[in-house]
Amino acid sequence: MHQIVLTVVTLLAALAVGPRPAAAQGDVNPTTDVPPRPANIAGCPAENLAFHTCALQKARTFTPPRTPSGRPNLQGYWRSRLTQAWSVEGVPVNDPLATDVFQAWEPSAPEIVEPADRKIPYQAWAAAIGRRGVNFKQYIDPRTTCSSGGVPRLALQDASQILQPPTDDHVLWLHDDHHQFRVIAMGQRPAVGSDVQTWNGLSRGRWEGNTLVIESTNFNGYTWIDDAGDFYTNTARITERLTMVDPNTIHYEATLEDPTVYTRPWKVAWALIRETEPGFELIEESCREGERSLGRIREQGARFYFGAPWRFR
Amino acid sequence: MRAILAVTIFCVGLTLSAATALAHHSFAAEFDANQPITLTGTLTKMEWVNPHGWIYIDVKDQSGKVVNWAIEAGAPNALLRRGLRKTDFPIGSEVVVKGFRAKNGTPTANGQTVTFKDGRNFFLGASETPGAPQ
Repeated sequence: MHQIVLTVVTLLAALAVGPRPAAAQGDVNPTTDVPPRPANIAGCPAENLAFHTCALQKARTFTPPRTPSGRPNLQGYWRSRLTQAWSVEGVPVNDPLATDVFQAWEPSAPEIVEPADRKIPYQAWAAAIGRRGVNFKQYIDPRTTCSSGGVPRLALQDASQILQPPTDDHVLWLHDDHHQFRVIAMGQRPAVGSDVQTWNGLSRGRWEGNTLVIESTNFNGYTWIDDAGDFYTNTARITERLTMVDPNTIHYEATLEDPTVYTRPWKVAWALIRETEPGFELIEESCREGERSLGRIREQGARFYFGAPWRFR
Repeated sequence: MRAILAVTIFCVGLTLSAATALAHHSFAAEFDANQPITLTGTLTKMEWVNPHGWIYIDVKDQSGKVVNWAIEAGAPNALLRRGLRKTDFPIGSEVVVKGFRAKNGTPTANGQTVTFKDGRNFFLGASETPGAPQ
């Protein structure tokens, strides 16, 4: 009963017409760049948890297009939906930052779908660092220094491209954002020692039915999960699952585990929808070529983030 | 009950991923929302670079001295996709810029709007400019 009420309320909340998202913050023309807000995505409610449940159900009876070698064909340009950069825990309407004159964080649903309270299950020491704690207050978001958004943050940055080269040895996931790309090695590979630590992790992929399962380890822990400074360390393991729901929609989920930081694994989920504009191409964001703000930001006392709060805890 | 309450508090917005992707850095760290500024000047240079462009305008201050201001502008990729080109910003154009001054007192501002004499209004707000039109 509780579940049904929860779902109904969520649905009603999703359908409620709120203020237009502040997409024009930043470099977007509000009259030409903002697509209309859909009431649903692939016939599922436009809220993360409701979409998550509904989309996985639909995917069970959807047969995705195939590559010539018979794999599900996820290739194409994709844009994320049901995402926001501020916080994976969401931004409530009464959040102080939602009305902050500097940087209004748009009220939005959590991207977290598990655990049920939709909060990151931090250990006590870590909760003081993430969630707009030490990281947010004292350090510079690694994306600001033109470093990677990391995993899964890259998957919510706009405009990406999935490629499945015909040898099926790898899946490539390319991103507009900060010239990042991920190489997902398919099939069995020997493990790599934990002293090899990378920004986007080392990824191994496999097919489970129609789902692309990506397991990543060997992170350096230098990335933030969101603008709120949520984080993991170099002991993180992330499992992503991409499943087509209909010809133009992928259900994306990521399970994050890090015994150093969390009390249990937790999961985010959102949608990737196909970009259908003719002639669309990824455009490299060569971030470092014209980055001019760091000097002024550092003058105000902010520090570069290379995991100091967790490395030297 | 608490879970339902938590859900109802959330105004469920479909935030445009285009906007979130370009949330490049904290406006508050660099610029001062208590120092809004309107500058009228002539365009001397435009840097069409990542992560966001810069336009430079010559502004005459009260004493008649000309100061060149640097205005943080939009990300070139987003402008390109919107159909804009560097040639849309001809050198010598008279422009009015509304934005916020840098905290460090240099002639630098975070541009919120740029209006040309012919009436064209290019929203060039860099990421997280306060009061951006919805």
